[in-house]
Amino acid sequence: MGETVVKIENLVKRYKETLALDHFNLDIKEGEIFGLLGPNGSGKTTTINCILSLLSYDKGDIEIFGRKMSYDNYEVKRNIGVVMQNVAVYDELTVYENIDFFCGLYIHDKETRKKYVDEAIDFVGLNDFRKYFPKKLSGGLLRRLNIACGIAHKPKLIIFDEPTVAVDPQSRNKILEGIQQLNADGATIIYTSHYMEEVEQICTRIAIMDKGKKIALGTKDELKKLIKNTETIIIEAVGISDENKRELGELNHVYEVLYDGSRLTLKCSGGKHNLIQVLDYINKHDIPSGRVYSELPTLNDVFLEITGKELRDREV
Amino acid sequence: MFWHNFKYNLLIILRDKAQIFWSFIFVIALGTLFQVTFGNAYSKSELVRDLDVAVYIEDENVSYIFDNFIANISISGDGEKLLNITYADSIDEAAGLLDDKKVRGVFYSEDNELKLMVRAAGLNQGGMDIQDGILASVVTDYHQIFTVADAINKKTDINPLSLIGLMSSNGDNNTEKVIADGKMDAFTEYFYNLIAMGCLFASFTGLAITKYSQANLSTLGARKCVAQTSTFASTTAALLANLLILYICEILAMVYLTIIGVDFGDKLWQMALLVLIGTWTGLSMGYFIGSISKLNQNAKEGIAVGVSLTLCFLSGLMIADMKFIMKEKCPLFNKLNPAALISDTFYALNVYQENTQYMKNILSLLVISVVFVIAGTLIGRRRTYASI
Repeated sequence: MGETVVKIENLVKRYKETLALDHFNLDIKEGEIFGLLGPNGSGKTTTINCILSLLSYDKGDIEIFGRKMSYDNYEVKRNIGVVMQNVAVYDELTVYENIDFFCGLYIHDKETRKKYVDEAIDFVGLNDFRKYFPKKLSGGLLRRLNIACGIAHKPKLIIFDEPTVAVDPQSRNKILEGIQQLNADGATIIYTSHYMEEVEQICTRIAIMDKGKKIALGTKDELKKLIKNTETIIIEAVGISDENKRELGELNHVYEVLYDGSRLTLKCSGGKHNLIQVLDYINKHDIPSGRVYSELPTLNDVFLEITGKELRDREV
Repeated sequence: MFWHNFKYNLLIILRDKAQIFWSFIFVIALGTLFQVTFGNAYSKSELVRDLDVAVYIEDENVSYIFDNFIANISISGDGEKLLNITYADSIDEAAGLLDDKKVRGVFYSEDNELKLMVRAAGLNQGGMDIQDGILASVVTDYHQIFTVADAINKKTDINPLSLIGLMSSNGDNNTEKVIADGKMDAFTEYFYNLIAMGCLFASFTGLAITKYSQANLSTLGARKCVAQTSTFASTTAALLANLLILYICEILAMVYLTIIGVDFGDKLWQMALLVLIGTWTGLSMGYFIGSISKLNQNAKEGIAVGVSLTLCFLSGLMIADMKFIMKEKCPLFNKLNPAALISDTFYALNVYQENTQYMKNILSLLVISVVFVIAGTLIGRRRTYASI
């Protein structure tokens, strides 16, 4: 791992009586695509806004590139790019003008800026839309413009705050590939999303937050080891009796058996040959069965097991 | 960095159709409407010359005094004849002239009082037109002057006729201020107020500048706040770029209004400076409103519209007398109302040759705008974003 790019120590942020960040710590290394996950109200957005000095905090330290971050630390800001969750562009400016405007807030030299803007347009694939006004763009193209505005000045740290919300699968794929490309070109990425499969696909390390605290941190494989479930077996079967359920539950490594009349679900913890022993039991008892699936745990399982399944509706 | 921001803010405001509408199209549309509707009516006042009237006054006292009074008012200040008098030998003869439409009205006496008779569709039926109104005002003036002269006569030895002559004349004994070339009537004042309204409508843009410069108000604001440009530099560039375009809008509106016949006077440079300061005041007012409240953007826009229109209403945009009512009832407010200050300054430019009042008002507008900008900036800087 490289140098520390973002270092957060004992960060505390209160909104009146609500504790949004509770002695939160984080280290993000150079070259990472760092996923920040958490249910609504867990403190993700607050963390991002504190990192960017958009929000004052009650206690703690934030260092970026080894320097204390503050609202007027323009040298540090030069190396940060942000892609907001909501599209932030001017309706009155064309695609080219929008990117040029935001790039110009960092890059003074006209020639360099022109080169950077052209590269950003190439990167997000908006060459055919340079003279379009944002209102003429589809949702996916608008998201790509939003990204271009955030990355045109070639920052070393890029924060993506749910950049794929309301985007079609093609555009989403293009965006994810783009993020990986930016990372390959040397940028460190902080990525927040509610889409677990995206985080699983691109993030090299993930922190899960809840109630203002970091409750898990690691690579996706490390996180999966934190939960009990290692394999879920699903069998389309009919006529499963309570006796069958009890006996299946007594098989090695099986810790939970669910049956809804047509689908039998068995959750296993550990072991390498769980599927064979379950199929043996089905055959032995002549239980009529159809398709059989074996699923490894996903990040979604990890997330739900760690943060719980109750609904969250508070965004801090 | 400043020029980059300035250049793009020029583009943004130039392409902002809503703002251009309110600051330019709306002003010239309303101005055209004013001119077409009231300009026509006003030009009818030119007809109030050579009004044919008949006079039959039986009462000798009334006749003696009225003859002197009428002799003084019949000739206007510019030497033109206001009333064309025919003396009748009887009331029937006078009424006959009226019926035959040879005269517009008849002055006659009844119970030692001067009365006016006009045609049936006129005064008594509520259908009084401008000419009837002028004749009615002659009777009113006569009664007022007669009452005052009579009261003075009872306490002094001054001849009542000389008093009446003095009071009803154009006032040779009064020293009149030297008047500049521009018009200064109630009609032209509507246009002063219209330009004042255009200036205050710049507040909508001021509001947008606040919205797009603060991280807690918009995502665009957040994006700018995380950039390598200070908020002060980008906000200053935005304010100046918007000021330039809105100022040009107001100047173009004035040029258009002049072309369609509105007379703003000939003090062009002073007016240009006034409109610049006025537009800046409107812009800074919007900047302040945008910063002051935790209300959502729609509510702030509503406040900006409401405040702008209320200030214009109180300066006489909708009812000409309102400014004078405010001057009398609430003089301090009138001195702080940017719309009243702007229209007053236009008025002062066209009334007085010296610039004392003009400079006072310009200074007041500058102070008000500086207070708005400083207060808005301080509130914006002190804000700790509760939630983004």
